Amino acid sequence: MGSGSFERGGQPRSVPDPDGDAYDEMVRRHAASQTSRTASPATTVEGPPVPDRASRPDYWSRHPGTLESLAPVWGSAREAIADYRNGDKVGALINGAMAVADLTGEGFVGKELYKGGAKIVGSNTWNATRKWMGKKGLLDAGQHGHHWLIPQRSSLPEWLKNQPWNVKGMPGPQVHGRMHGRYAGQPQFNEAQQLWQGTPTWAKTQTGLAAGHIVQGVEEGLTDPYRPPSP
Amino acid sequence: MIDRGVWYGLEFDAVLFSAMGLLLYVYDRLRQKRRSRTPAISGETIRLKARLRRLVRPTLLLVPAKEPGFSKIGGSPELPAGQTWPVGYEGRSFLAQIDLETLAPHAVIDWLPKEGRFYAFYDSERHGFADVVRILHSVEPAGPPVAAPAGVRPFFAERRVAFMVFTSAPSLDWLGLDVAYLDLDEDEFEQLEAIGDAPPPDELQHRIGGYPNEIQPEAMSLSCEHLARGLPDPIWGEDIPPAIARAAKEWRLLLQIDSDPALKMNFGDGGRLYVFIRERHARAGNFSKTVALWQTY
Repeated sequence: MGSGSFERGGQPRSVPDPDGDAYDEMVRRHAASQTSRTASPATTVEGPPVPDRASRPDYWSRHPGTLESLAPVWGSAREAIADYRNGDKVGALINGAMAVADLTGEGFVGKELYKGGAKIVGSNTWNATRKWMGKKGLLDAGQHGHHWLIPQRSSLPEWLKNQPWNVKGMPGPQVHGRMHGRYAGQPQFNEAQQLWQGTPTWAKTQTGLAAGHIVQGVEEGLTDPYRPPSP
Repeated sequence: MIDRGVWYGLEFDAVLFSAMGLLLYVYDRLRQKRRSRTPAISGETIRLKARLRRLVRPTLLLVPAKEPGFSKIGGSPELPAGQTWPVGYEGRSFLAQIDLETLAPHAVIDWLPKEGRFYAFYDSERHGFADVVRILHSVEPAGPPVAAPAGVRPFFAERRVAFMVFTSAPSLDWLGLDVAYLDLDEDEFEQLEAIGDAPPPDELQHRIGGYPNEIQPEAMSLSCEHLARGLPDPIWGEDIPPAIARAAKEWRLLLQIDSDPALKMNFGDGGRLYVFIRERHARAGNFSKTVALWQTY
């Protein structure tokens, strides 16, 4: 018959545990390997084969990468040119408008929302959403997606909680694990860390803009010439 | 009272986002129309379908029992005499107990022993480790329900279960395929998921055998092999040494337990627990070297 336990903060085992040693050894080796990976330089990752260079379209016909596409003015302008060259006139028009809108802070927020904001057509199950996000380059290969605002376990409908705006790509499984609790021996993130790691850039930007609006409004209110004098 | 300046800012945001939403809707409708002109099934889908059909395996869905027997999820374990409750960081919660003899009539999962019972215990502090779920196996007669030791949390509500046979096909995650490199549209992905008659992967399901319903992209058999060997977590897309690729094929899904609100079960944010075992160990009745994984939304 099997039974088991594992190390408990250096305390002696409270019950006989014939399988414990096998687990302890497995855990020890895994923890050591994770530590050495963290300490070592970045590993070279060789992904699946990419298309031949010669067959790739020219620079202005190619869409920019996710990061480049988020660069104010430049990203949208490149998208607009690529759309136009690929015959997507509607896309070119929208991205051109976004490049102009980038001249305001709200344009940046709107652009991020547009690029990964909504999945209107098709299924809104999580499985379909994460595939859609993978195809659009919003989640990298093997990247975890975290429901940052509306938890998956909430009773809200899938079409709302499985929207890409509610999904934040995580840097790795460990970070995602620590959003929810203790993971691989590391403690759960505190509230500030969860806010930083688990909030999309556009939401952080919008929070800053909203704060800016409030400050601006208060300032204008205080200096409003039509404001009745204080009693 | 909110000042006019604040209102102007909020109104501007609302108008801008509404306009963006409208444009996005029109744009996606146009793109959808364009996509609908393409053929419904690509050559890649046909090839993948054939591959998945070859790999289909039986799976047992744990459903509420009409005539309660030994097998159950949650509640208190009916451990044999002399069997101690496995300890954990803050105590291990009892997850499930399965009577292997009741699986035998189904005779679909040939790698499981035909006798004995197994018990699963969960430690919420061990996410990321192979022993986040520990399995005890016994051929001794089951005893009365055992109360949890002090400090064990959480305690799950009980549901006696029976088994329904389905067929399960591997996911693209299990095969290590990245959707970005597949020239498939949403309909074609749905066609691939419809292979096998098991419930769709997003539905709540507790299962034995077949393939896991991954929440996040992970080649789980590879993760199991790495964990069992004490290697770092595998990196998606990285070259796999042939020896590890071969060994990874031996891992079988022993148990999948889903977050289940009716049983007060929640693993992270609606996550799942997966327990894997090497086929040869299962056949030999050795449940001491299982590897468990956890995923969440």
